[in-house]
Amino acid sequence: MDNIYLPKLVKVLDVRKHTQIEWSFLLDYKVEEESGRFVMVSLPYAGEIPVSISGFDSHGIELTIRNVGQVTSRFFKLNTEDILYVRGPYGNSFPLEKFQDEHLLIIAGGSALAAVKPVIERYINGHSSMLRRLDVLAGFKSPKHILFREDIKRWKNSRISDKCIDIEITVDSDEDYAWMGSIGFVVNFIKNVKDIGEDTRAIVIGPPLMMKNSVRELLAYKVKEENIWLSFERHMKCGVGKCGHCRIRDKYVCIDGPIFNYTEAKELID
Amino acid sequence: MADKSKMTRFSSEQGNTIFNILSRHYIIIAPVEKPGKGRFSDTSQVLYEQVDSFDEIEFFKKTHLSAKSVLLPLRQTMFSFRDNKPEEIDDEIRPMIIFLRSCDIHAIKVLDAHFLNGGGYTDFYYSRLRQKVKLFLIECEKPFENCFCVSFQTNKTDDWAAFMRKVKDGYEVHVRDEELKAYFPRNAENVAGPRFVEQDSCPIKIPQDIDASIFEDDIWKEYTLRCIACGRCTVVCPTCSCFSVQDILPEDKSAGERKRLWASCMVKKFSILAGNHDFRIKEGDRLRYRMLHKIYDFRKRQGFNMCVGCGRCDDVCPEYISMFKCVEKINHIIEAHSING
Repeated sequence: MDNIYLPKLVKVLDVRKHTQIEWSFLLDYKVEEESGRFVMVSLPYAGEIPVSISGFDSHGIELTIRNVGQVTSRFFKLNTEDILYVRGPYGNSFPLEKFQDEHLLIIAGGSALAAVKPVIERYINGHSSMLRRLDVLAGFKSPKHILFREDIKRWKNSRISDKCIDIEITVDSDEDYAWMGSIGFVVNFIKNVKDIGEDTRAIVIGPPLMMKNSVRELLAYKVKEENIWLSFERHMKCGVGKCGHCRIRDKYVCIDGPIFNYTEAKELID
Repeated sequence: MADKSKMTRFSSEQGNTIFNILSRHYIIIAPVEKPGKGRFSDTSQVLYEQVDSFDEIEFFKKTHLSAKSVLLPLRQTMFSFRDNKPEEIDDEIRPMIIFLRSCDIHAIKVLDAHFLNGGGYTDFYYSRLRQKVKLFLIECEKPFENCFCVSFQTNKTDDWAAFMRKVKDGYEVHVRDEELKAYFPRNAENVAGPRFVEQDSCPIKIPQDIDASIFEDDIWKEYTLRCIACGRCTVVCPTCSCFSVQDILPEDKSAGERKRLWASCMVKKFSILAGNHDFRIKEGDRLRYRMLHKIYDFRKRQGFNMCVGCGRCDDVCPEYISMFKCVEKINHIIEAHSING
């Protein structure tokens, strides 16, 4: 019998530093490209945490981690060639077939952009014919919190053949008056999304309050409940539906999620 | 029901001989009474322990703790970090016999559904222990205080390797398991098979449908005022199985271990995220979360109730919060809603 709890030793191939507290680790861990899934990552005597996969490439997976807790602070001492302990991937993935030939709106708050980045990359890199239109609305606390600056620049520069991509980056506040872009919560920019309506497919990912407000706004613009998907973040110890920490009602975020259609998600009261 | 003709009777003395041979191959775990170890002065504690004879077993009293710690040890080593490499510890697990009442056998069915098949993943550590366990049924002559097994339909079970009853000067046994038959005398006697409790002292109705309106109700505010978040209800519950994981580095810095240990959704910070975002901060919300899992949410997933009606949570709560009363309140709320539309 396989022991699902035994991690594999995985080499760090590259470390990309976005901000002081948000780094991406490229790992020598090859898995099938299924956007939205997560892996359980640990170091001995630090602990184990779930981390969304923020990128897939021929070398392995990329994890974007914020230095915010006991476990992650240990990860931030790692360099290229160091070892991380990984098991997975676990959880479900975004239902890409539901987006085929449709208008897709992705709303991300802060570092949650990492979890949905593979979906954006997929449509930017040559799978353009699969969508009618792509809108990305990503909000950060302030200009210095913006992640994936180079990727965003690349996304902005690309255009899906004769169709459209729109990338809107906003910040909640700009204390240094150095930001040339939009200021305000992402929810306030939903009204600017071109052709938003009944046929829009929406992914909403971020802090709970941001997700709640964004969904309310989407519904006000007649986006159908069944066309909205949310990605949940919860405390997890196992990733395989056993430890119980991520349970909400009859669902385990780790095996039934982390992505839930809104028709399901609206019933999930913690 | 056991066939009368298959029962066997043996004396206490014969029992010692049988036990000695049986215990060479099996660790025997059963209810034991510990005088003076109770929660109040001059009371005893009845709990599960490895026993050295059948006579040591307490057949007639309800255990305060369940037998779940046999299958889910309070602390369990998952693997060691020898030279920083995760390495399974090759524990030799001896076959075990556990003496259980019907409700507690149903509790194992709940744990099996969760750990052996739940979500398509098998829990390695649970499965490894579970394979080695045989269940001995013991009967309840009458319902204990705070028991509601009949309401939860856990009063009867057919899932046992053997059934054993203590009688004057000896024991009656019905062995079904082929491997175990060799240890017990074969002569058949005409005695009654297991008797099950047929009527709860206080029956309760299990709510069939629960909608989101229950979440808004004020009863949870009342529980916020009463519950002290000690987590005792989850400790004594035979089906509470949540765990946390910790890495332990010994003082001499030699190979440490990753361990799992019991966790409780009733204790604060059960669901807290790094960055301090927490869920169910109020005690009443945590009680609602646990309660609805026991009587509704688990059933929605697995098809049967998680609560087996053993009533240990009611017995142990220092604030005298009763599961029974809470289910009654939920029923009232549902009724009120259906009347008011």
